[in-house]
Amino acid sequence: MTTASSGFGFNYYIVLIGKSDNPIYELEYSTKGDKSVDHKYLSQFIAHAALDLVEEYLFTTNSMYLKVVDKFNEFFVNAFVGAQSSVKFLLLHDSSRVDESALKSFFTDLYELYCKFALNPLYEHHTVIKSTVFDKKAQNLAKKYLP
Amino acid sequence: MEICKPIVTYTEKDIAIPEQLKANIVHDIPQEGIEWQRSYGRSVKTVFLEAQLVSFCDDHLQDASVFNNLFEKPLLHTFWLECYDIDTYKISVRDELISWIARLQKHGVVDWLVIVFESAESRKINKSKLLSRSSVVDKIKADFPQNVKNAAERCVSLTDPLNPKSNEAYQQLLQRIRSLLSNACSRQLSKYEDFIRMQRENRNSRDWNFFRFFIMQEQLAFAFEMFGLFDEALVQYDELDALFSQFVLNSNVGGIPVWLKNLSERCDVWHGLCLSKSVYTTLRNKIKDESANLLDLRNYLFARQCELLLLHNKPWEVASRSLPFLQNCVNELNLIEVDLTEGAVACWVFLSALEILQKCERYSDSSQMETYSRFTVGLWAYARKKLEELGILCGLMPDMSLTSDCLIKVVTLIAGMGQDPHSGDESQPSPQMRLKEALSKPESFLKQYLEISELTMGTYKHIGHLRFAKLIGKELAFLYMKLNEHQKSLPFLLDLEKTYLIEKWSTLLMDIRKYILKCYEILNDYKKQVRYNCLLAATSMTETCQSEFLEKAKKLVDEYEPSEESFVMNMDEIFPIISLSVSRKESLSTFELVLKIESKLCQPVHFERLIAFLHYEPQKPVRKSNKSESNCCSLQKASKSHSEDIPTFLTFTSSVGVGVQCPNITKCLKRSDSQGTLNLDGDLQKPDLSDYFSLSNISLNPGINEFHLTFESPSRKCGIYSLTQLYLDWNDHVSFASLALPTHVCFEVISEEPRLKVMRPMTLSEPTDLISGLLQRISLELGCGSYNFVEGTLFNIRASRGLKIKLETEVDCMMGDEVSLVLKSTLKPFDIYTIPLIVFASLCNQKDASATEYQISLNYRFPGFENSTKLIAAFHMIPSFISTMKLHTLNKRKLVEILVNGITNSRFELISADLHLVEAKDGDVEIKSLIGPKTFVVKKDQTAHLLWELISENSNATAKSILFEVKYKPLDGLNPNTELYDYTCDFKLNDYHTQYSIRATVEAQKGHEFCRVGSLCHLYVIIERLVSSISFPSIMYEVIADGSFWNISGRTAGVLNETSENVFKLSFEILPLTTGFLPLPSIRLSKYIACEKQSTNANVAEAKLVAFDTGQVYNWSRGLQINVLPSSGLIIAE
Repeated sequence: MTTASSGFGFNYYIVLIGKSDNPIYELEYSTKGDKSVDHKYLSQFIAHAALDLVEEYLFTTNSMYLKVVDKFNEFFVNAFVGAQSSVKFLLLHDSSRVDESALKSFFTDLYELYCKFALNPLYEHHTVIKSTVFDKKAQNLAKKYLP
Repeated sequence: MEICKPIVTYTEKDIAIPEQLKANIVHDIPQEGIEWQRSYGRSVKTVFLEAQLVSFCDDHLQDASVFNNLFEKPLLHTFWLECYDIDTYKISVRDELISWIARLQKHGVVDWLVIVFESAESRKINKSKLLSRSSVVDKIKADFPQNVKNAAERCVSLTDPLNPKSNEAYQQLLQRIRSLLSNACSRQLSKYEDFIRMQRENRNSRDWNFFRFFIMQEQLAFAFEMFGLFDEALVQYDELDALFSQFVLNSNVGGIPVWLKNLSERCDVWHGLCLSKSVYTTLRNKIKDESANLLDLRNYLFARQCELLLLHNKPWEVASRSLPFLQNCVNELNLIEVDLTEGAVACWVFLSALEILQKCERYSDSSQMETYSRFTVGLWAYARKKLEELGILCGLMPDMSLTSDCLIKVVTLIAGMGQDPHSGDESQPSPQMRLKEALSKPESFLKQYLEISELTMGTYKHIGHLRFAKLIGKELAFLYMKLNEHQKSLPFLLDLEKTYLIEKWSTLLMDIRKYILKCYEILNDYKKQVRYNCLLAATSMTETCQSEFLEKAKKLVDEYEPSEESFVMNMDEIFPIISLSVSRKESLSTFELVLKIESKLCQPVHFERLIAFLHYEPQKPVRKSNKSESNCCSLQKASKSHSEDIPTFLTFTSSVGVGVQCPNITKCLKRSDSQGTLNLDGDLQKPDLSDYFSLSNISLNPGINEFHLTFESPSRKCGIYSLTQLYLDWNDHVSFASLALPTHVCFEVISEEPRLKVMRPMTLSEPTDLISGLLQRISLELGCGSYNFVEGTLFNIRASRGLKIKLETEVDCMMGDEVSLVLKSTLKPFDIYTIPLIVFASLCNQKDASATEYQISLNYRFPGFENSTKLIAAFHMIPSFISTMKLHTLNKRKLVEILVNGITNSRFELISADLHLVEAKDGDVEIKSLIGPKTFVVKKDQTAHLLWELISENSNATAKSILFEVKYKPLDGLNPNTELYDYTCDFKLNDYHTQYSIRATVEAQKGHEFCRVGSLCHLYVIIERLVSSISFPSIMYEVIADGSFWNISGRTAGVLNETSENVFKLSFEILPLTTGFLPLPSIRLSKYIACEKQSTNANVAEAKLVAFDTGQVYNWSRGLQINVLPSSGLIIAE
């Protein structure tokens, strides 16, 4: 795994977790020029392991944004939970420049996007989201908020 | 601990303070707390002060501008004197006291106290005086300089202080000392805090030294600790901690101060953290000497923090702070680039973590276990990781070899740990002992490592962090794999696989399965190898991987030895079922299952068979009651011998079911964290079900495949069939099975017998009832039920008696009892075949209008079968009209009246009505028609009356029976032909000859012209015999009068015996009771059969009366009336 110092830019991995702790949407986003390294396994691994901590943090706060819940090497795991804790949003990143308010806005917007998507009667909740529109919008959000 | 207590000086004047008293005072001051008013608006706290008593000397009054020590200078000065009377005081003591005070004031000391020893006697004397101000104490107070505040409180008298009786004064003294001391302390502390603050401001100056500052600020901490303000003390250490961290962080960007450089350069040992007091005292000395290294400083700082936390009764915070501490420390070592031997940091972390854990264990009780575990688990995990790091470094891990290089490393590391601080403690192995043992040889390392891993895993599970626990399990699994104990690593891997499977983390799942496969390959578990190869072939990311695994699976399957038992794999992940639907095919009792299976493999795979098993649940076929079925239709079951071989039709209720069906209840209700894997292939047994859909020799291509499977239901197996499992047979021994189907599919098979029904064609013009005596059109409906009527089946339709039938289609055919019909086309199940029929029921001798039941039976025989089946349908018909007969008599003449009543609304024309005699000799009786050749029309409520006279030449000749014949034709309806139908009806006649005639008259009394009420009249009756031969010689007459009209006097009945006479005259006296036209009393004649003569008197009662038949008695005067007048009125004759 290359660290952030190897090139300018950061790696982000966004995953939405459904009710039975299953990933329902994954997005890899990088501001690095090259995307040579496949992070997917590691990202999934970290995200999955962080779920325990998210569950613990849930009960310590009233807010939906849980801030940093876990660290793994150079990676930070930020979490956000939907209403009734049914959907969890995890963001893995190795960025030192990202600031909390931007992350919070990112999560809030992503949550709104998810809520709108979930209103689609043809979408069965907590199943994998396969939508190019959703994908595109999520990409745009990432572009907007993540440096 | 090197801590200076606040100093209290004493100056003795003419007295030696008893040593006992000094000791008492030092001991008693901290016994009670005092409320400490603090500067900067900080909250009031109760503190416990300690003090030391020191004899006063001039050094104590030196300038206080520079601090070396917080309580370096005395805080309170006391002046002890003994003086019993004022004079002595004035002479000797006063000057000295005043000069002492003046000296103190000169140096700015405000905290002082004068203690006067008084004897008990002097007190008594004082008490005797009236003025209280005349005591020595008062005098002293009065002598204080004017600018002294609270002068009254600065002088305390003490009487016999060692005597417990004078305790009150002593306590007052203590209180006074405490109060003054606390004020002094407070003042001193704020001064010192200011000083520290100032020192801190200077931290960037070149000659500033952290160690010095540390020792200075620590004084505050000590002071607070002494006061019992542990949290305040902790704050001091936390501040120091933060300050130090800041320095380390800043060293990264700016220049490193000298002291920090020294700190980092001296790191050649890595003593673990030790929480015992003796150890950290030496550390403090090192700090004081400025010879400590970074780890020493950190160890000391954290040890102090821990101690204060424990004193503050917050042991869990020790646990919670320790992990950040360790990590931060490691981070700092990296930041200031301390050059340590490889593994030294790991050693330090391991030792420190274990030390903290051991400490925590001592404090933890069960109620706080949960809180503890939350924090300790991180420590365990960290320690485990570091141990692993050491293991790898020193070649102690299972797959490594222990080289001399490693041994050197171990020796270096052990040397760096220094002496074991817990060497004397035998209660439990100290952290250093454990580490040393672990590093000594691979076996003990493994033991330690497993022990710690187990503990960590257990703690994670305890606090509910199952995923972390499982990840440790994964690492253990890898360890076991390295140890070549793959059997042991499997449970961990399978556990993790289950988690990933349930939570659908595909990438992780695939990864873990690779390891599982590796284990099974080594364990040579053939079935699992096949299974995991298939799973990986289905889920791998790249196509090359997929085909690689698939080839392996194929090879394994081909190599399979048939001698071994067959096995079944779960197909849900490899070949997920997309959809299922069952429909009925065109042919009989055959179902088609449309199945969509997705193959996730990258290549087409050939399968021998695809089977979908059906669970059969017998159920009585529900016979639907047909609402349109008319009542007269009956249904008879076909004999069983038939339905056995005739293909039965099956119907199904499709998959819309209400309710919840759980096909795998045991799995759903299983404990979620139980050890069994989700998809144990051992559970999958090929079910022993006889009903299934199947398809042979199929090839599953990558992507979605659609298959059409058929199932023929065996005959007579009615019930509910539900789809349970799907099987894909790879070959004879290897097959895939679905665990649960995506939808519950079931259908119901029912069987229904054929039935026959009579339907009346409904037209507006025709009446709805079937009418006999007319050609009626009906249709026979054959409901095929579940049977198939093949072309050429012969139907034999038979009518019951009195009913003639013919097919409507065969116009020219005669009506007959039986009709045969060959089926021209094949009838499918549940078809309804209609046979139009024309029926005619002849009108019979019906006397009333009730309906008559008729039956039509249908026999059929299927080609090639011996027996035939009979279906019967019944229906009712009502007659078109009925006829009745009446016999009328006119003296000897006899008239026959035939009434023809229409029943229905249809009109009939009656033509050429005729009456015949049956069984009569010609000439004896003649029938004379009184109607002529006329036609009549009858319908409902329109009756035809026909009249004939019977004329007998011979009085003996009688007609016993007559036959009424008439031709009729309907005038309405669809019988357009003018064909006439015959109608006959016979009537029986009895002996109808008139034997007697009766004439009755009522006459007024002689002389009266009219009958009047109340006047007696006469009734004359003449009975005439009209025939000569009388079979019954005696007749009886009875006069029956209405009691309200007539009153008859005398006998009203009598017997006329056999006489030769033909005329009998009778006379009765009757009295009319009312006026008006009164009907005459009626006279009734009966045959009288007297009793036997032989039994004379006794058997009179046995005489019998037999009524005459109709027409045998003719009453001339029937219906006659007589006008009865009131008693005085006129009588008008009839």
